[in-house]
Amino acid sequence: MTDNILEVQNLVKHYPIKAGVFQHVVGHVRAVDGVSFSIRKGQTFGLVGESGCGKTTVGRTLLRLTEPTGGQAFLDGQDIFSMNRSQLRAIRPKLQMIFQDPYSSLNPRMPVGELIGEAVRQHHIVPKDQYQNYILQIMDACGLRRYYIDRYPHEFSGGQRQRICIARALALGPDLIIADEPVSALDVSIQAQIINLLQDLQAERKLTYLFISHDLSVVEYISDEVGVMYLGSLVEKAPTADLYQHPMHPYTRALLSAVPIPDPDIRMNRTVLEGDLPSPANPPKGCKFHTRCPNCMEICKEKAPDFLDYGNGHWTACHLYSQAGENRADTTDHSETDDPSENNLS
Amino acid sequence: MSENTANTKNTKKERLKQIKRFNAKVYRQYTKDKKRKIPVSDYITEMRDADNLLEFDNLQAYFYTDAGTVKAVDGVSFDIPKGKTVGVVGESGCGKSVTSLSVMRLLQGPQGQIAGGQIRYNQESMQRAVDLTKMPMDAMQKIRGKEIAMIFQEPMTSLNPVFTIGDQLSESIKLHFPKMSKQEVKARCIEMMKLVGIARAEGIFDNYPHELSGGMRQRIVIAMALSCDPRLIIADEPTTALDVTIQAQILDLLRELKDKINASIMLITHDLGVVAEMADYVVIMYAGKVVEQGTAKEIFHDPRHPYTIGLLKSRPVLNEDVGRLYSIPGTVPNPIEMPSYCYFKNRCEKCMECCSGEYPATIDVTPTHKVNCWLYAQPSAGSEAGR
Amino acid sequence: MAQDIQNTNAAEQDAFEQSQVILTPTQLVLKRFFRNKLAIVGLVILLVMALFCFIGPFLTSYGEYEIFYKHKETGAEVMSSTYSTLSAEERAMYEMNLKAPISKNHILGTDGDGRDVFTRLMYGGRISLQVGFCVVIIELILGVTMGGIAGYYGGKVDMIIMRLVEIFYCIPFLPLMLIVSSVTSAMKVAPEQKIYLLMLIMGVLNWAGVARLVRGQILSLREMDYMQAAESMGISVFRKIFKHLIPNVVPIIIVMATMDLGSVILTESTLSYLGIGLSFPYASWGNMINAVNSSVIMKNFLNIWIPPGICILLTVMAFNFVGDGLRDAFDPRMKR
Repeated sequence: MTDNILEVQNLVKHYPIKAGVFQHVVGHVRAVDGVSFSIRKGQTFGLVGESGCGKTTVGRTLLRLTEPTGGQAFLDGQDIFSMNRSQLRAIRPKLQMIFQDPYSSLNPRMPVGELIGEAVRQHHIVPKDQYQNYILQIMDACGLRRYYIDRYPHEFSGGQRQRICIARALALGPDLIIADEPVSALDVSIQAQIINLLQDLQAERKLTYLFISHDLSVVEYISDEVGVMYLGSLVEKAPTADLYQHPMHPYTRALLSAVPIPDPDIRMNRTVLEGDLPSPANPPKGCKFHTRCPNCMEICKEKAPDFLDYGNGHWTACHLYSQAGENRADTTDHSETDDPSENNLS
Repeated sequence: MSENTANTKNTKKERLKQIKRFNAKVYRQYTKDKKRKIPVSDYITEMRDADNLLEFDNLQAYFYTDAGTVKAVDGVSFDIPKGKTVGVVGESGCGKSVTSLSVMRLLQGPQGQIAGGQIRYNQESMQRAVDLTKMPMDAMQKIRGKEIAMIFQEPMTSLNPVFTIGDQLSESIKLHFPKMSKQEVKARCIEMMKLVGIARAEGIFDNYPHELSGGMRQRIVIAMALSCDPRLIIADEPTTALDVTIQAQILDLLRELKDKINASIMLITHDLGVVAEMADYVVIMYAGKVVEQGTAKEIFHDPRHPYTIGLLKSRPVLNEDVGRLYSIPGTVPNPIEMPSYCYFKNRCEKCMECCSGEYPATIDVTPTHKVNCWLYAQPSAGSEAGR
Repeated sequence: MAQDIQNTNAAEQDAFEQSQVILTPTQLVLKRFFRNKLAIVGLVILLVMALFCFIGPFLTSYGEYEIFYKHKETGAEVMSSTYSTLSAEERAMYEMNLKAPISKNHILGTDGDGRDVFTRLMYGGRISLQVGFCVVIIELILGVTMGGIAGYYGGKVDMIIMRLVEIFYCIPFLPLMLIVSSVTSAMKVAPEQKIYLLMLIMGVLNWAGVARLVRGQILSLREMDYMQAAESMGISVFRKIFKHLIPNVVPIIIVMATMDLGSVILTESTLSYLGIGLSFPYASWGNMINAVNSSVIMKNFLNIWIPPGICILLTVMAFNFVGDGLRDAFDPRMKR
């Protein structure tokens, strides 16, 4: 328990929908609807889901870039959501973010040194006389050439900009870095460079990552534990190997089977989900996934399943497993036969 | 020292002036050519192989910018056989989209122009083969949309928000089949929408694009492309903007359709997974040139070019345990003033002495598998014969 | 072996990159600006105009209100300063040198009151440019502050300021100016004070557009990832505003100010032409053109009203060229 660096309990974020002349609230978009997870120190927690599932909102509320509607989040035992402005500013360096778009996340009017060093000076991370040296060290660590220090963002390519973003986050000596789709805007060969950099830095500096992405293979590669989100809630959470080998929730299974494999000999018989994501303003009753679920049962339309632990830290919210003990055994078998890796062999 | 910098500054200015003069000349020529009447005999050619639908032969598409000439596509040659899917793979800026725009003759002139080479199209409807690069625009209009259709990347922006789905679908049908009655056109639209798996076709006919989800819109775009029974469909990153589960739906749809409609597909993407699922042949492009091409099996099981190998290794694969991810070092060279040697030299692990020489020739590994790399050039008999 | 080549490759790359000239964003903007020929033309016109209006008057011995008299027989000319020292008989020999043609003494002739057109052109330009700059400065001070506050704080403050902006948009400019003009003449306000009043009113009436623009810009900047990044790094509010926000709003303000300068000069000319702006004896390009309302002058004395017209045209056009050039330089994507 104590080695958890971040603990999120029942995080809720609703955006009001306003309408009419007087902008009265007519409903809520349930962007995040009760999400709980924790991250162990030095590990990477991957958060996957499709666009609109609320994964980015989780990241932003944790940084208090948007104010949460409810729930609690503890960073090293301190409650982030109950802090006032000055307390929040004091812990900011511990919690950093890397954004998706390396083009809009750097102020075009600042040279690289200033971009990286601005917050370092503001928070007095290092004494004044060591400042210059410190910035250069950080740049070295992120694979940026030292002479870049006076250059402006417009001279860099996407990959290098993302390195600058990483350097900027790293310079504050954070414990936890929230990486919101850090590689999805980059080319494949550059993605690998950035992923490797993130991993090297983690090993060197004992960093913890919350890695938010829609790319399942990247998440599998980088994460120790993975949470799958659907319409604002976690539907499954498990150690990476366990989740990818034995996915329990039908949504996870569908997601995994939807990923194209770069091998022309593998023709998977995939479970293709019907239909589209329902609107988060008006989520379906009962289990939110029941409208698209291939294994939908009567109970799914009535009652939302609880998020339960099924051993080995494998949590899921699905009625397929929650009914009775003997049922469970069947369904685990079932999940194994549906396993994409086995299908691959066929 | 200061004199030196002044000197370089001057020469730079001189160069910019030269570029400007050169561009002005090129632009003038472009406008003149545009006005010229082109006789039919000018663009009739012979296909190299009658089984091919489209043949790119040393295609060059240049952009004449103020900073210099960008050779976006520089000598690209590959074939699209009838009824097959060809995947064109490469990173951003490698010229894959420009290649497809050249087929449609949609390059933004006068900056973007086809500078050389041929795109031979087997126009079976007229029992002839034509060179699309030389075709006059009015003849091109008849091919565009009817015989060659395009699916764009962004389903959000490729539909006009002020017209209903029905309007937009029937537009190209009306254009290419002017004799059809209103009812027939509508029936055709609904048939097309059913074909792409839209259940409530009648209902959606009168909807506006914003009322549909991304996946639905992409289906509509595909239906539009299919509505005139095209011989070739160019799909430019058709699933990149979509979520994984929707992407799976669309890919399944495209694969299904391929068998039904007997058209060729030119699939442009950066995602090797998508290509592996869809394509029969794969073309790998790097910095405006084709570096390797072959059947999907050859490319994925026996990649030869270091770039292809790197590309395949740098993506983590589901349920496959790799140690450290392989990453290709460095970045793509500056598109202006490309070097004379192999463009990949600076990033290549297997770089040799001779890589600093001229650009490597095309080497046939098998009759279908071609690669441009010095690694496979036979020092004695090979390299010239390989051409 | 391969490793060696790799290393030399990397070294080459390094050497190449290091030899690149580093340009700050400002230098980049200037470079793009000076590549634009029309903008340069505009800038040159403006410089020439400024020299003509502010340095020119020192080079001529004629005053702004100087009236010229001509000897009825000899045609010798005296200025009003000399004329006032003359005796009554001598004065009787002189008459006002009205609407004199272009000559060596009067490069553009004299106007309907016997004053030198060329000299008045200089003084008129002075007033026009001064009015332009003052009005733009007033509207910028008001507009940027109000728009900045509205955009940055949002919520209720934003609501109130934006409603205020809408109210200001609804004030009919010309009728207001007519009223002000008649009130000032009724209260016998001195003409030189009327200029300041004019500037103030125009400035206060124009800030709404600026505020709207600045607010919009700040709202969109606030959503940029780098503002979010600054927030998440715990950068102080002061630095966020002055280091991240303002430098990115400045380009759009500069462009707008340049364009506005042109339009303010035009408005001032319109007002003066209608006789509700600057009043005699002060010269302004607008009230010089006012001479056209006599058809005799319009037909026969082109030298009186064409020059100020050309001045207005050139200046306003030049401001627009420069503004356009600046906009393209700041945002090269806008070009096409």
